[in-house]
Amino acid sequence: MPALPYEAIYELTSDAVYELELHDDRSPVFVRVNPAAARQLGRASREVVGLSLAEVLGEQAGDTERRARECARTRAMVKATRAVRLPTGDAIFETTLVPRVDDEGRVFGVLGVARDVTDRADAERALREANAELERRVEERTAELRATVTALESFCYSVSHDLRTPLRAIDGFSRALLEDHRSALDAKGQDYLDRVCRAARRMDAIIDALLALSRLDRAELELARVDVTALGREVWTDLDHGPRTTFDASPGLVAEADPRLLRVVLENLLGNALKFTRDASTPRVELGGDSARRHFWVRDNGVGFDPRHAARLFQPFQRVHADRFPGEGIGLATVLRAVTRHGGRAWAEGAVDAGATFHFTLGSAA
Amino acid sequence: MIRHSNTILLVEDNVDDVELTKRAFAKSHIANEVVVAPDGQTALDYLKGTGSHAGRDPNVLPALVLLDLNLPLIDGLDVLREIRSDPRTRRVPVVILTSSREERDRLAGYDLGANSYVRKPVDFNEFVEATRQLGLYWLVLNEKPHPEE
Repeated sequence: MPALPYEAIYELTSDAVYELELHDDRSPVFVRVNPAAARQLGRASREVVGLSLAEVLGEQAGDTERRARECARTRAMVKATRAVRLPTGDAIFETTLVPRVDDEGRVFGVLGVARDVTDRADAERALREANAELERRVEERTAELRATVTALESFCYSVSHDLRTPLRAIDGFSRALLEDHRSALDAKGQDYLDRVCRAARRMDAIIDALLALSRLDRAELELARVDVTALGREVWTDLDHGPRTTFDASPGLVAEADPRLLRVVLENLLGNALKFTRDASTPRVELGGDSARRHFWVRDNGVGFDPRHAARLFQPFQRVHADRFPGEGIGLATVLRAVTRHGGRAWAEGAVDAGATFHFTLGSAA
Repeated sequence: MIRHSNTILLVEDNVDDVELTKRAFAKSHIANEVVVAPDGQTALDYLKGTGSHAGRDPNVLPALVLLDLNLPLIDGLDVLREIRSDPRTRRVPVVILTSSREERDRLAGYDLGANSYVRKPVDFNEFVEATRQLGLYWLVLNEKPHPEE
């Protein structure tokens, strides 16, 4: 293939290419102008050749002239980006000037290539503005969030204090009635008061559970390498599990996690497994997992659940076995919050009377 | 000379809690006189012999102050701060008795020099037991900082 003549590039490029001749006593003169440059100046090439910078660019000529002379003096490439007002409209040019040197080594002019970067500059400005706007919005939302968290904290505080005071009165005065005025109450009346007392204590336990849940969200996440197998065995030992139930933890399970939150997760999952295997003939609870995938599970052979309820299990106060097993209905909600804080998820598998497996991950696979 | 009476100063604004606390004392066989201050200002008036307790001898300190935290007018922690900053009252045993289970309240209470921090249980039987132990420790076993009347 024959070489492409430079002339063709000069003629066809959309960059403006021009040559200026330098004079000591007057404005540099155009000696060559390619079609792209002529188009931008809104004239024909031949009209521009022979005119000075001052004649073509008017007041804006000074800046170009200064750089052209700097290029000639330093004999080095000069680059600049600047806005220019042209007959064809305002534009931003990225201009490169190189000196023209004759056989004797004298600089007699400069060659300029000017690329119209208006679109790019506009896009950059739009991006900068969008970023600034985004930044501003993030700040705004953060401030809103901070205010919400503060409000939530003071709400939790008053819940813990203000709700318990009337509960204490309900429980205390019901008992006072039972103790001091028992003879005035028949068996049914006494039973009702017992129920009042139990309800008050149950509400107290619910308040505790709710506060524990909100504390999960407030605490800073402190990650450490956790021996999940050892933690599981420790939690199991602390549970009131009795000799009937066997517990098996897979050896060598490890995770990068907040040890306190992970303990809460295991306390709830192992506690549930223990509770729901209560009536099994050979109750069995297992802790397993795949450390590399940051995925763990607790499996039991207890009463299980209807798979249609699998998603609801993790919502607060949803109790699938409320009639047969005690609880506040907040354990799995707590588990979900704790693993979500690690960037993980939790889900359940099971069937009625066929046991259950509760899975959780602590973020994406390591 | 500063000395202790056997009075318990109960700083508590909730009338139900006052009644329940008195009942718990009775059930625990604590027969000490109980003076109730329904707000922080009244508590400080009692201790200093000023305001609503003008004329009371401020050199006679209660055997024990039971202090709730959420109080009208002057907050419980401010009452504690004032008690600890007055040379006359700084050694009086103060037990914070509150519904709050917040760690910050507990830490603030201890930082300000509370002698104990006891959470009021909702279960009245537990409350009686807590009161019994409090009374046994602070009114019987504990040697008071100043001589008793």
